[in-house]
Amino acid sequence: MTLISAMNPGRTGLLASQKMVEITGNNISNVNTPGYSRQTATMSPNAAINQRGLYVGQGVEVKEVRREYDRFISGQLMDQNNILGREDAKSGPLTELERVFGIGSDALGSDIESFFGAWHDLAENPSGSVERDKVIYEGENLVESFAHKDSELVRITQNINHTLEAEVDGINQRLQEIARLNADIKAKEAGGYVAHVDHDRRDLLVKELSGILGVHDYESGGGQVGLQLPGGLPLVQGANAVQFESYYEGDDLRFQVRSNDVTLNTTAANFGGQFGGLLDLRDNFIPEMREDTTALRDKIITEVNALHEAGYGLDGETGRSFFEVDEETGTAYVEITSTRQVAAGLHSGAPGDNENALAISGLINERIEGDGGTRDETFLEHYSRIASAVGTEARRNIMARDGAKDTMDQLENLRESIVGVSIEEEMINLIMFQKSFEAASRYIGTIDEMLGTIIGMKR
Amino acid sequence: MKATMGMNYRLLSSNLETMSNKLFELRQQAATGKKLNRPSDDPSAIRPVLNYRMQSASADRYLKHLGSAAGEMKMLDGQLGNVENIMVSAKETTSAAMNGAASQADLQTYADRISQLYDELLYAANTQTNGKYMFSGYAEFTRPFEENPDYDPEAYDEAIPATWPVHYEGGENIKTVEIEPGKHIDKQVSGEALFLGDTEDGLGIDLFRVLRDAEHAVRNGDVDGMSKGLEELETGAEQVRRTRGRMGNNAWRIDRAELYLTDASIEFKSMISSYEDADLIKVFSELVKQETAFEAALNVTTRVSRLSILDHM
Repeated sequence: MTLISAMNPGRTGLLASQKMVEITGNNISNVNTPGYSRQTATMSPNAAINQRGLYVGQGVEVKEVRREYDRFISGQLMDQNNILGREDAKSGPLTELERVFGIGSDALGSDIESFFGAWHDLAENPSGSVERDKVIYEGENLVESFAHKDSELVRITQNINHTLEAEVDGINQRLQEIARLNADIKAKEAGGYVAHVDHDRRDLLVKELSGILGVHDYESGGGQVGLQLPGGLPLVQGANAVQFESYYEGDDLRFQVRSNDVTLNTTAANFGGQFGGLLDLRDNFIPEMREDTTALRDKIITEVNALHEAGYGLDGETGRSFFEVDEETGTAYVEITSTRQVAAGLHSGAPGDNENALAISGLINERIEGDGGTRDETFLEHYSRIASAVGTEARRNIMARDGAKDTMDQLENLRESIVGVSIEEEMINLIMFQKSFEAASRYIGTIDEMLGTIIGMKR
Repeated sequence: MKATMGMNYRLLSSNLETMSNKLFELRQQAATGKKLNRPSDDPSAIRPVLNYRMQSASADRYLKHLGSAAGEMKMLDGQLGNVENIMVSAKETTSAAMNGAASQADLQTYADRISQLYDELLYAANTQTNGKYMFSGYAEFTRPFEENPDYDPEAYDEAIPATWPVHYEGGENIKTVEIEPGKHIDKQVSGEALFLGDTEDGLGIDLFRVLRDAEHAVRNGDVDGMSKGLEELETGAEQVRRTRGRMGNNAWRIDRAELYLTDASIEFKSMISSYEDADLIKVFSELVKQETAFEAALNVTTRVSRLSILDHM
């Protein structure tokens, strides 16, 4: 063993310390990178060389750079992001629904009250043309309000469709990137290289897709992951990603996945996350609201018409409907055109006769059986039920979203505590490796001095 | 387990978010004075609130109607008093005419006076308020009492309406006012019953005929006729008094209903308020508490960045 070769351990020490400083530096610079997992390196001594029976170590080597990873927490994060995505997506439309089915004095409940109140006022002065006029325009207001609610619900449905449609491009980009990363990781790892950055990036994408679509992932060998929708439809298999597409069937926005020439249709049950939440609102909750609101409108129309048809207008005519529903469009309007046609009386058109007006105004206090004999409730109770349904769902959503957010924060923190970058830890490591670098260079300096001593022996 | 900077900042920012949301909610409550702004604020309160709001609006409407009914009742009472006075005057005139000292000329004067009272009665029976006839029931634009041009006192037959001095042209039904849902009371009297004596019990008396008979008797100095007229005039006056008493009672019931509804209306409003209105004292003390907590959280947030290992290297 020569003195020159004694420099070798010092050289490996310098290189290893430098590598460690680099890795620490990389960790520090990624301290705020979302999804970054802290990297560590393992150092191991070089194999010793037999020097005439003495085994002397040959310095150090940085063997591999590892990425800290916790499979369990990553899975939990994905599940939670699925829930958070679903509730978060629902909260926007639910806020709008709360506005549509409000409980303020400008809400539908007040319009119902005003309409029957107008009949009550008419009963007080049955021959007054002002009161008769008021009944007509309050009736117009009422059907107008119902139509407005309906168009608002349609608008919310369309907004949901727009939101979903806007996500399609982003979803495809992510699917393709995951497929590409799968291919890269496989290629790199086959070559003995560990693709940490690719893993982190892929994890982040999978987590995002879990929030959007509620996807499940599974390991498919060679460091690759497969993705599928909750219903089992495959999205990514190895290096292949399907094309996620939206199309309109009438007014309904539908989704399909296309792989080469095969297209597979999806249903709302295929989705979780943001898509699951929005599709649930669009296909279940909002249609129910629309149906229930229209049922309330039709109940009011049927009851008012039945009484109105039995009464007499000022012109002595009877059998006229107050409201009419257009068979084709389903819109309701006030059939009565003149104040004289309002049937306030029950006795052939006497101007002071208020009995029918009283009977109609009394409808507001009556519990009337709904369609299909569901339940007996007044018009206002029916409206309260609709508004309560929206309120309850919105409240549940707020709580579920807050809960999911909390859990998410805690999981993120847990992940961080295991795989995250701690500035303190890295700084201490930095000092440590700086010192070992210093020491290694001091060692080389010492060898150099020793060489100088030997060379200086001959003068 | 280590606590990284990211964990600290995540914790702090999510705490700050929760707190500022709470602050926003409290500020909204303080600004609007309401704790029920959206259905989700308290889904279980929606039904009672809408119900009380409807009842409150309906109570206000009832109060308005009862107020105007009370006004009508007052006018009706005045008119009934007027009719009663006419009957009493006629009685006094007849009784003066029965005094043996009355000359033929005096009798003519008395008879003219009764005829005048008859005209007044007819005028009173056709009184209008706000362009509507007071005693014509539902047919409020139809003049209820028309004089019979062919009237002949001698030919009068109670059973044959064509022989009556005055015909009733008004409506059959009388107007009512609803004092509470489904409970109606009369705010009118039937002109036919009051003036023509067309009552259920058959005891009514035709005031016009009575006046006409009395006038006829006085004009002819028919003492028997006059004393019968005196009796009938008293019966007529009594008929008016009874009606007036009954309507007085109805007016009293309307008053009572008004009082009750005024109380109920206040009660409904306070019920709505208990569901809907924020307790401002509570809101403000909560606001102060939250603001302090928020300030503390902000303080901690800035402090976290102040403490760094970098300052010690």
